[in-house]
Amino acid sequence: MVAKDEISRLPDEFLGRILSFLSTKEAASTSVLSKRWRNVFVLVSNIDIDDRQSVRKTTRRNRSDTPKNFMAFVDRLLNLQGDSSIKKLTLKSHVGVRGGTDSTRIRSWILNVLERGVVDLDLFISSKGKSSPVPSLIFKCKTLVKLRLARGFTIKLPPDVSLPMLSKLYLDSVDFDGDGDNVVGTLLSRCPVLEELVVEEQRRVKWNGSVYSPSLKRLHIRSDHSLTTRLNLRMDEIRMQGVRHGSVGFIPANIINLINGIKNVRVLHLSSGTLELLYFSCQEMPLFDSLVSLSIGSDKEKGWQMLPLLIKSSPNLETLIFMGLDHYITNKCGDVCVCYDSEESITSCLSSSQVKVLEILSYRGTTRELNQMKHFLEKLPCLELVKICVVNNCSNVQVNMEMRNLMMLPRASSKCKIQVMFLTKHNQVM
Amino acid sequence: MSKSEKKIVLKSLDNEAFEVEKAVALQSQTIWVMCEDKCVGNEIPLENVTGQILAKVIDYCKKHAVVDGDGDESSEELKNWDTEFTKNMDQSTLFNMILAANYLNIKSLLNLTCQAVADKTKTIDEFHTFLNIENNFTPEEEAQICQENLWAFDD
Repeated sequence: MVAKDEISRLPDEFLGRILSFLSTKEAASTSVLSKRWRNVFVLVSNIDIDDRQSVRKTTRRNRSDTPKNFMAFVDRLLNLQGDSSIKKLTLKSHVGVRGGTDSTRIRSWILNVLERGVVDLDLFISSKGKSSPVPSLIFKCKTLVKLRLARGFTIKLPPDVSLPMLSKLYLDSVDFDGDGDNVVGTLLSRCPVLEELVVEEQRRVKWNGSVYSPSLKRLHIRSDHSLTTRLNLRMDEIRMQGVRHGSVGFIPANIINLINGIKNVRVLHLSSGTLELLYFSCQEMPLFDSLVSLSIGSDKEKGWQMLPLLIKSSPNLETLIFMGLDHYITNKCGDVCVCYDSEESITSCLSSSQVKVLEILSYRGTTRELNQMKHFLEKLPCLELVKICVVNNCSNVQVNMEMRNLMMLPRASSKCKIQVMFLTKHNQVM
Repeated sequence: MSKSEKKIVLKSLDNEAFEVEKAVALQSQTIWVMCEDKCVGNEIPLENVTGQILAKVIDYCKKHAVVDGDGDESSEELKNWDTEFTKNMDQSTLFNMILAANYLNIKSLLNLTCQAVADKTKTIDEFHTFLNIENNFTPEEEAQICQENLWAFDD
């Protein structure tokens, strides 16, 4: 039986809602379905456009027309929408590249949605030109709840910045024009309900000054740059109260202030590089009283020197997660690991730890890993659950042998259960 | 509060009665308002929803009443449940679910069902096959529309 065309009978409002879940290009292509659908796409409350979405299959001759068609399309859509309210604009655009999208057009589109009460702006604009494609009026928008700005352009903040509703701010390699003033600090101080800040540095940015946000709950910093490059980014003072979730993948030069700033964190992820950097820049740790879950990245080039102190400073830690057990062999990992067989360190920081759950997210089953697990199981007295994800190319027989060895290890905690999962093969719980 | 006060009876268009926990039913803003209004007793007539559709709506509300307020893991599980819930619905069911979610004023269900239609119709061909829409344009009209929204069709 052929299904009756019922969806077309839904009132406009619902069709607009359905098309809002598609990219705007997909939504607009429904205009040829039937007379009913001809202008339904205009009713979308989310605009999601990417000026490269069409390039893939076009021939060379058509290609030069694409930016023109793209701009004409967006102009027409915004014109047809009039002043109806809009929730979200996702714009991915390439400016200044030969025949790319015109930056003044982008500015006018952004101004258009700002006037229509947009709550979520997600802008990825690759700009080679000098002038900023982003109007500074964004920073005076009373309705914005989420703002993502990427990538690699410089913005001049208006003096009367005010984002009263902004809850999530995502800055990817965005610089601020401010002659060395504390521009980022000023920006954050004018976002009274900001809860989440994500900073990525794909290209070098030059921020400095002190940053303070009492409402912040989640902080995520990531950078691909080497330390010398990072020195351009200085945050002299990051003070955050009640930070609940932090993730630090790169560290500003003045790391001590950052660490003190996030001491109330509950869930913390540190990349292996950050962990090592902590060792080189901090002699002591604040007390991480609220920390219940700590996860650590894995890299065989980076050491665990800081881990003993971190565990000692986290008296309420319940969950300890390792992305993997690989790390650089040092004589400073102390009593957390078995890098060096130091018989004298009989008292391990692990022995007084309250950790109940230990997770190893990537386990290959080497002898060194087995020794490390032996150490954990022997020392951690409160363990209730150990979860191990095995990633292995070896034969099943070999893996099973290794896992049997693992299961046989003596455990300090009698309640301790071990769960083994095989990532590539079917899941198996032992 | 006696046990019976915690339960509520929902009656469909075709007179099918469903006894549900009040907390489950109150996810519908429409039912909430009806319950606030003291005139309605323990039985609420829903004149726009058939029993077949109401049963599905109640399934959804039951699932979401239990898990709400829990941690991240359950919200992940809930998402998977939602996907499974709408995966095999045909056009007619989705059509009625959208109208029911709107009438009962359950915003999350309205979004879920609208998204389900969108997920099944990513391309024009899928629109034609899943929705079985008959093209009533002349070739000239169709060419003109393509011309109007050139960018949407140049791939």
